[in-house]
Amino acid sequence: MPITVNASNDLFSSTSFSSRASRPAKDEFDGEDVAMSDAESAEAEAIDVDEDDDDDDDERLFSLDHNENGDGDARVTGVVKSRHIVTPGELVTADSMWMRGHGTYSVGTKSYSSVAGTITRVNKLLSVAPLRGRYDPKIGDHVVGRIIDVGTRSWHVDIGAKQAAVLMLGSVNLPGGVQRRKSESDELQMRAFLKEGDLLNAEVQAVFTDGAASLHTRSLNYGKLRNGYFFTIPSSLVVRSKYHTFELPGGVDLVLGVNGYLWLRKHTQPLAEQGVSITRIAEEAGWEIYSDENEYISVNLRDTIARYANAIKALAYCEVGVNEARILAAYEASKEYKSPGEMIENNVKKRIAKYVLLSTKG
Amino acid sequence: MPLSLTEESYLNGSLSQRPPCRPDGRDQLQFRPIDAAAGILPTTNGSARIRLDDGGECIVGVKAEVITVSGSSDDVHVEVDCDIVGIPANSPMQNLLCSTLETALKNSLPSDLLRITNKYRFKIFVDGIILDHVSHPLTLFSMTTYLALLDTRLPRLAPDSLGEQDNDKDEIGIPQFSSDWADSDRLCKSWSPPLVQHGIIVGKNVFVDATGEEAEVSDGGLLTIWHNGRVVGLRVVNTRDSSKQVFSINIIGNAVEVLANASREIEKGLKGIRTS
Repeated sequence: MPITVNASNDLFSSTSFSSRASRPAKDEFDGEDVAMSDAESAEAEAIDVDEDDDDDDDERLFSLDHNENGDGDARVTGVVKSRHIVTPGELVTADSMWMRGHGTYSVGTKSYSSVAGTITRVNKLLSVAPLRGRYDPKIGDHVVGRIIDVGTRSWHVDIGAKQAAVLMLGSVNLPGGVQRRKSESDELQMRAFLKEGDLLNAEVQAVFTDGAASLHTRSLNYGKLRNGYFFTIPSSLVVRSKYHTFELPGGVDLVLGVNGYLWLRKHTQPLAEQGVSITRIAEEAGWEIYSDENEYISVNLRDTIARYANAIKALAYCEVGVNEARILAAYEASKEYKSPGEMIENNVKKRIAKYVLLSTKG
Repeated sequence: MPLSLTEESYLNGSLSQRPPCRPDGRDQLQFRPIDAAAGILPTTNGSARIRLDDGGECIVGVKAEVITVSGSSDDVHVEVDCDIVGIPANSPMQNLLCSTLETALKNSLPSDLLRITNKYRFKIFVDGIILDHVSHPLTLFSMTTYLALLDTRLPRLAPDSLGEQDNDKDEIGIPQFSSDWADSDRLCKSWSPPLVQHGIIVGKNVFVDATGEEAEVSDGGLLTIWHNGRVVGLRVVNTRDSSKQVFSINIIGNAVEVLANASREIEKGLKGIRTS
């Protein structure tokens, strides 16, 4: 590399400094980068990790045709480096020293991107994290899913991932107590608990090596969903947070699945707050947790649910990441429109997203 | 993918109450935004593409071919074909789309528009592909066909191919067309294509532009064929596999009126789109 190590050191450290300084604002609030998904923030971390890596490598990475001869406008490469978006078939690096990870393929010594996304590198491993794509389950994720198949001692659940997730009979609360053994009669009446088409929320308990997830609903926060309306947004737009169940104004609860599956429902008192002592909750959990009957839902509430759904869809339309604060702001903005039906127009969606971005800036 | 029982009862309850509350808050007559363009295929006589908000997309190309006819038959030669991505050929859905539109076109298109000479006629091929659909594809296919037909131009006969006298026009042999594409006639100069509208019925309410989930909980579907400012045809369709597909006869009159209003608005909208 014609550029001296010194110079590139200076430039690289200065770029990394500025990107670090702007990151908190960017990740959360910047208008252009609001669609930042967890994948992207993971990438930001990855860059953090090897910031003190030997810097002369950095010049070789991303050496695309135009700066291959090394006249090296290092400032440009520095900027491109941290947020380099590649398209399928684009040359990532011509250097064979990199290990090629997910989202890349190689011809000879050259590595190309096989997806549209951002370059991630961890030490010598180079991968491309896709901008869009199916949900990639991680342990501990709160997801919403739909039963697609009832098997022997397990259900198959669609969670929008590459493969259906598995919900073992042993991983659900059964009427008559959490801790009791699952008997043969439970196996025989699995359809009485959950059948094809039923919606549930659950936590990812384990991820197998092939990427399939195993779920559990062993908490009264999880289980069959009722009293509400289901819709989806791209999973890359859901901002991961500590909680994914929100009590929203207007008497509506939202289950914001990390997989982009959402459930808006009438607010109901959690069982634990209904005066049932903690130790007795398990025994109190009777058949009603598998009920297929809705409670009475008023016209106003249905209207509010439609309004929330449209507000969240407006955010998704504008590629704005969805979290609790933004949903509340979008709902606030939607009050300008008398009927939720007005919010399906694209210019209204844009206006709502703009308001949300301005008002949640802090 | 079936809905869960609670979902179905929530949606059905919302749609059947009066006034209804659709899950996305729309009016009964309100359409979702569509994205339409005409004249996108240079090798056709007319073409159009429409994309829906839910990702549904349809492309239609109209081609005209010269055919010979025996005698002076007044048959209208139209062939409608369409592929639906993800549904095998000759499926009931494909047949429904093609046959409904072909019948509507044949019944409404005056034969003299396609007449070249005594012996030669234009045959119109309408070919569509539905790249993706979530809701019922017939409205989408019909709107796109409508726009493609508005865009359709048929070449005029070259002046020098005509005989010396005007009355020789019918006697000429193989027709020679003007090589200048600007020298062509719009197919829809004096005729306006039919428009098929799909609506669903839930309880006593009728909805246009139903989403997949709305159709899933409906009592039945209705197709109306709109031409020249009135409904000229009607067809009842299934909207889901379930057997509970019954609705009251009293609702049909109201449904036809609602769908007619929707068709009028759509026709107005589509006519405002710039064609080539």
